Amino acid sequence: MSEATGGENVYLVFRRQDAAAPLTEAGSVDAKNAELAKIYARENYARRKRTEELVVVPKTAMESLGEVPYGGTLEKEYRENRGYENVEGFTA
Amino acid sequence: MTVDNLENAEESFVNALEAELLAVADDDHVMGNRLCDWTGVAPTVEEDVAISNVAQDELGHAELFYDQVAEIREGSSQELAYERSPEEYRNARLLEAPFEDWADTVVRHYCYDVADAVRLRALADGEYEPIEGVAQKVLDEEAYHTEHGEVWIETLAADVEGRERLVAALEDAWADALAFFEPAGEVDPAEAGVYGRPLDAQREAFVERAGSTFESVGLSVPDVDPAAETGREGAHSDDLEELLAETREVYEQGVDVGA
Repeated sequence: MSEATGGENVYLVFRRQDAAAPLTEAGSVDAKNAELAKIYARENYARRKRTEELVVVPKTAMESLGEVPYGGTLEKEYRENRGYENVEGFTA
Repeated sequence: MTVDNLENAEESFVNALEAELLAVADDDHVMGNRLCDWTGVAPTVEEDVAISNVAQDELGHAELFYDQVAEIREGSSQELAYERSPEEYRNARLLEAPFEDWADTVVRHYCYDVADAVRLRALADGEYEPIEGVAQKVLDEEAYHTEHGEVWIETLAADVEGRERLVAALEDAWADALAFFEPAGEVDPAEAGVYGRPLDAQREAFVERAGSTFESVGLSVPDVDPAAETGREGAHSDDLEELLAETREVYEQGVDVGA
């Protein structure tokens, strides 16, 4: 349940709270196979929470892009949604 | 015929009902507390949460059925859970012993879940109307438990050592599992109307369902008779006495704990 460490038995758990909500990462489980992972996801991440949908994905199926080119390197934070609150010369 | 109020029911029916409900409650009490042995030391932290949830469910079922018996006896569910001597318990012997290993846990708990589901269905189909809702609530939760057991049987069977342990556990448990379906009272509870299905037919339904799960992973159930000592008439192992002593520890300190 702690942060996924990349072992082959790690499944990431994604949960959708209600029909209009995005599928968000809830955490991970360590399980011998997908069927056990589903049971653990339910017992650990949904038993006491409202849950519309629960999905498990083997961590090994994640395709990482590595270092994302240009990501966050151009100092154009003022283009981000959170607005201009931290930009000198603008009042939030 | 249906019974919706025990005040107008025949004495033989009330006695048989009380004996069977007590057996149900004792089964859940012993199984739930035995499963708690894994809390903190289950194979993985995820399984720890899963098996502890299951244990908590079984303890909740015990309380539901102790409440029913307490109503008939005009006593309390806590007295029933914590103030009886071991020979007064009517739980199946299948549930008493400490678990040998994880495979033993999976096999014995799975057999219990299937047997309990068959019995509760028969109870819901019996003549005592007020129990139907209680039985149905428990059956809904048991469906999750049997799924947990089935996935673990498949998982262990797919591994060489796991399979060996599964076979050994099944050999050890099967005769006790068959002995689950014995009357807890003086009379035949199905004939009395407590169950809508005879005990032998319940046992056959259990063998069919649990047997097919084991067969689906290439294991066959042992060809043995039900164990002679069932626990339903109060013959228990020393393991039960030790387990009950542990369950009473907090209660005996005067703490108000649920059944």
